[in-house]
Amino acid sequence: MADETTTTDPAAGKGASVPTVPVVSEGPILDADFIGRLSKLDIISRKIFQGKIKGEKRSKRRGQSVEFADFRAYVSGDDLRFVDWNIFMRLDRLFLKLFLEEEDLFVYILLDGSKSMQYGSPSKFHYARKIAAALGYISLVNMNRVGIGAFSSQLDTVFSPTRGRRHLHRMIKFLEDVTPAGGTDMREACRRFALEHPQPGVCIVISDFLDRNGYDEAIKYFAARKLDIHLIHVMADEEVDPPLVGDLRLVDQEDGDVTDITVSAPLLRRYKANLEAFIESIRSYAARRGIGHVFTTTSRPFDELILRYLRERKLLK
Amino acid sequence: MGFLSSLNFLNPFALILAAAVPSAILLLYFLKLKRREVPVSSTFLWLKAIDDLRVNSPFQKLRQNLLLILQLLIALGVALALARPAANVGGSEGHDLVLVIDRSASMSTRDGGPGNPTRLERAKEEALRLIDDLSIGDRAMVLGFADTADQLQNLTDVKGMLRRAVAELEPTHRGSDLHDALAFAASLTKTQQGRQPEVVVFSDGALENVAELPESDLPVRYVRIGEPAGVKNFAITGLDRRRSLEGGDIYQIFVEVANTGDEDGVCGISLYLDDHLIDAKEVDLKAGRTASVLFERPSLTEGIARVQLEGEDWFELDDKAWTILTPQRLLEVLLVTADGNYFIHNILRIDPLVDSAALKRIAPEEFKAAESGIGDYDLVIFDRTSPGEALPPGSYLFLDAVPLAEGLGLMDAVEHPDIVEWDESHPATRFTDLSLLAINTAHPIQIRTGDRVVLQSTAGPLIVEPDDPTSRSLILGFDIYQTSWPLQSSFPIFFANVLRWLSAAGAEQRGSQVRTGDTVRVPLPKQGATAKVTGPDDEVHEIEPGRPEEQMATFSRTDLVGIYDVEGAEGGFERFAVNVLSRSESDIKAREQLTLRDKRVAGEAKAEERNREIWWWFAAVAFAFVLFEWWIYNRRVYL
Repeated sequence: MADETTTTDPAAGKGASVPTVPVVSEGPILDADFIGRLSKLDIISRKIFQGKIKGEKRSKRRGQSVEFADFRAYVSGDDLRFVDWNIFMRLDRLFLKLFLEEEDLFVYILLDGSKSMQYGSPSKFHYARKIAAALGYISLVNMNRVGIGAFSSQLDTVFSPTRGRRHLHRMIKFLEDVTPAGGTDMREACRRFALEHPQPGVCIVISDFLDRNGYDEAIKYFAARKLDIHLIHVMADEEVDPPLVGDLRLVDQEDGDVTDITVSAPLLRRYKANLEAFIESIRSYAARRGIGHVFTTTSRPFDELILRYLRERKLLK
Repeated sequence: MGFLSSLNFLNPFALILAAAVPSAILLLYFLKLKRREVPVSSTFLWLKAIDDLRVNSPFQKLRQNLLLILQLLIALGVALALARPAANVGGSEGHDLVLVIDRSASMSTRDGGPGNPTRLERAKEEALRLIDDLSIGDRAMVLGFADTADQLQNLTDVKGMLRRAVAELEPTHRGSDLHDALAFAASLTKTQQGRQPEVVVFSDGALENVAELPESDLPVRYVRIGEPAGVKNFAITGLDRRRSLEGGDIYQIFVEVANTGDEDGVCGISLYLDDHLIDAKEVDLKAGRTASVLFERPSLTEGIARVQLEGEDWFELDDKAWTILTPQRLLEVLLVTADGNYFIHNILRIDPLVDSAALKRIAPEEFKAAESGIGDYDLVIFDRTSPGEALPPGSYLFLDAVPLAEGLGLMDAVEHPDIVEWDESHPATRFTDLSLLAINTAHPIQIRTGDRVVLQSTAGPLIVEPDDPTSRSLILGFDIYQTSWPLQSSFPIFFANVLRWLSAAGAEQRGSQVRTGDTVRVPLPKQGATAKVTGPDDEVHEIEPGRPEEQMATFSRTDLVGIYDVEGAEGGFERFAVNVLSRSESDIKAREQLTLRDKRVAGEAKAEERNREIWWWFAAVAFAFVLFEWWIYNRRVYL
């Protein structure tokens, strides 16, 4: 499936093949109607990737394929099978026919499963999991290989790269089984995941990026692998505009760290400024390194995020 | 400073709160109690915010504690309000107040009719208000007065003790005489140098014996309790009973009824004998008028007679009066005379009270006080012969003679003394007119202080009741034969009066009915005996003679109206009645002015306070702070 124009009515055509979507406490991860609309989407890879088998992706790499791309002059050692004999007959020079090689795409999704993701109502984790499921589904139906890793203070569980719609149920089950626990150590998790998944592809990190050790070290492991990286920054509304009042003792959900505050307007202003700076720092970090960045709060309608927002950000097409 | 120096705290103990509560609040703050725990995804953004804030503003600590500061201010405001700050509008500090509260009978008036508070209750309220008004350094004492004054609380600045003293003030049914209270206050001035007390009288202003009040230059305030006009009251102001003039043993009962209110009206009067209604009459009385009613029924011979006014009015105590009807007992009289006395003898013989068979006449030389058995006689009459020895307790009449007593004697004879005046209130001279008494020769009586002059002539006292605690006697300083008296109508009346008063029957009669506050003399059967008196409130009082040799005990606790039963008294003295019967107490119109000996004090309808309380001002400030805090807390608007 090269592009969406080739697809017929997805909801009617594929609804039956979609396994019943399990319902979790905060609602289903994906509902059938939404899944139908997701089917029109595909993951965009902005770099040339080489897959293991000839996949559905049009690779920028010229190679063996049916789609002609260009010619180039023969140099010794080239495969004689790709010599364009017609041109040799006319021009008496050896040219090689270059074809666009089609290959499958690796889509890696790293889902933050630390305890801090449990915050908010609905929780950030639920929201993040839905994003992961949606992206995973889009990838599966487009015959990409999907690998998912859930991490907290380490890489907790991994859904090994899998291709094909038939694995959708397994993927959703995997996502369901992830429960937020432990602290956040993105560096260690990314390092492990990058080591275990050397194939190039698209890497989507869904997290609140609330890691005391910072996120930049972690992202470097992927950047070094020439992966097409996207950061989806999820925050709860309660974090953006804290509904707090009075003398409080804030307890860190991850490490139990305690901070006494007296809520005041300047403190809230300062907090919001800090939050703004934090989000901005991620945005500028991403921009400098050609990394895609999407910031969202849990109040943004989920389908709007997937159907419009991510497309605008060139993650989906 | 002007404002601060005039600021008082009426309840300074609350200032302890002012110190204690903020400390407690501070302690709570330091202990960081009550911090609500809130889980957040991560504290590191907050930590950074706090650090930034701290760096940016050195006063952040203070700002963060704005709520604390507000709470301290609220606590301070409340504590100050509780301390009852008051602006002194009435002069310097260090006042001494003498609170004089009237608890006489008229203070039991319920202004406005039954169901309303009594005047005493309202007086107590006013007094409590003044006590509350006392500033630091002020002192007060509490006196209750009726016909005498009692000090209920000595001079103190402890408001609790003053309040208790006022609260414990009990009403009496007695008359009202300010004499003792004023004397007390005056004596206080002498002991408290430099501090002149102010006397505050809580009364309806109906005072007796105003002319006899001690002179004093003490400032007196008069807090008028009660309505000065529009009152409604019918009163029994007089009750008397005597044997019917036709003889026999039937009593006549005289009732004087007064309308002391401001409305004309008809008053029903009922007469009960031993709680059985036996007669009822009605009088139409205009406001301020008095009427006399006579009851005469064949059954009025013995028992407790009660006169009662029907209908409701403001003052109940004067709506009932009692008198005791004792059965007739004939008197035994001894006449000591040299040659007989025709007039006296005949008077005694025909008086229905006297047992004429037992009437005995002896010559002076036969009289020996110890031997004649004169204790058995109800009355001994000495006619122109003075006894040469001291007489045992008893009743004696001396005609041109005197008992043996130091200071008492007959002066030299004078010719034709003119009558100046006679004591109309004396029982012996009731219903008599002695102005036409012509005397040929008289021996004016040399008297001592305490002796009561009944008849005064230009030459000196001619009839005297000597002051004798053990005996009752009357001295006439002239010989009946030397006067025109036997030819006048006052003669038999006088002697009938004297017989009844001096004799035991008279003693019974006199003792059987008194006014509240009067003393009752109770005859005892023998020396050293005691008697028990049970009041209308069933309280039992044991009484004994003032001196061991006396056979007479005095009972003075006649606080309440009603019947008092006597146990252990001599022959037949079984009970006596106590009534209000006071025109001044029954006149329940509260006086606009208090009339003292030499000045008039205008009444205050409400006790004027010296301190104007401004606690509400502090309370309002505290409340404003509360609102401010609430607003800040909810809106997070501060700073």
